[in-house]
Amino acid sequence: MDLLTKLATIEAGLLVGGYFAVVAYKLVTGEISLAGLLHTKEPGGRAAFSPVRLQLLIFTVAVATLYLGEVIARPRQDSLPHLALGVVVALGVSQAVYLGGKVASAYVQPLLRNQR
Amino acid sequence: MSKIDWERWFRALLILFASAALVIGLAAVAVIYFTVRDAADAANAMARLKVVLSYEILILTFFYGLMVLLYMAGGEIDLSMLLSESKGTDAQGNPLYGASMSRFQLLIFTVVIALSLLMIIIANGATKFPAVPSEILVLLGISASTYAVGKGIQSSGTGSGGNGGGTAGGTSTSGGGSAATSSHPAPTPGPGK
Repeated sequence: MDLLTKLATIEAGLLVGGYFAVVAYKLVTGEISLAGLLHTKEPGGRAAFSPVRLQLLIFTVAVATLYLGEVIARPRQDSLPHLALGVVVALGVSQAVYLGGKVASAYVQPLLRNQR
Repeated sequence: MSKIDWERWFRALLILFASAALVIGLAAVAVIYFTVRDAADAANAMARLKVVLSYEILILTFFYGLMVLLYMAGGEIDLSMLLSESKGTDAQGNPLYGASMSRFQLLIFTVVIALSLLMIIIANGATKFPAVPSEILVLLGISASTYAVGKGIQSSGTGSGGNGGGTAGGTSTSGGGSAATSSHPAPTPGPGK
């Protein structure tokens, strides 16, 4: 590896690592708020726990952990590791459920309430 | 340390880094011009110019990146709303904000893909940029689309006639306990310009 490539790699590592470290630190200290991540706002303004958001969080963390684990286990590759089609489909379905929930609470619930 | 102190500190750093980048850049030009010798093609000025420019771009990118990093760390670049989205308004009409699942997911996937890319590049000795499989692009596309569609639902739901605001299609904001307990009010603007 010549000097320029080595320096560029170190620079990228420092900057990317630094950005993520700052975001992680602010998440841990609460400067970037995670309040309400698993809650949805119900009619009347009350916050209620949302299972739809929980399933999306579980899918996201699981897929991210598996992927990162695969890269850590075998980093010497010509390309980023492939992701099974089933995983992509599962994540797509998970997102669709989340969006469906959003649509329902944004349009369907007010409509039903107005009809009563 | 107060905000005023931070501002002064960052301004001084900004000037220092800009000056350092210029000095280091000029020094790099001089050193490389006089010392780097391509054994095969010593007289090739273009080859030397390429090396000089590469170092110069590397140095400038580093200092710009470092400044952004320091500004983020010091709070000059306000990250407090990085994961927040509007959750409608409280009884007094003040906007409420809460963490957004789609933003959080996009952040997680971005971090994972970027770190994976970096690890693979380092492990392979930085010889070439690794290929990005189509499933990864689809994954990032799904995540970004969810964020965009969620935004669309949120804004059209908020704007729908007479139903009041709210991400979750809140109707009237009046009534008992109208403020979402898990949401927080809009923060005061950061010190950033």
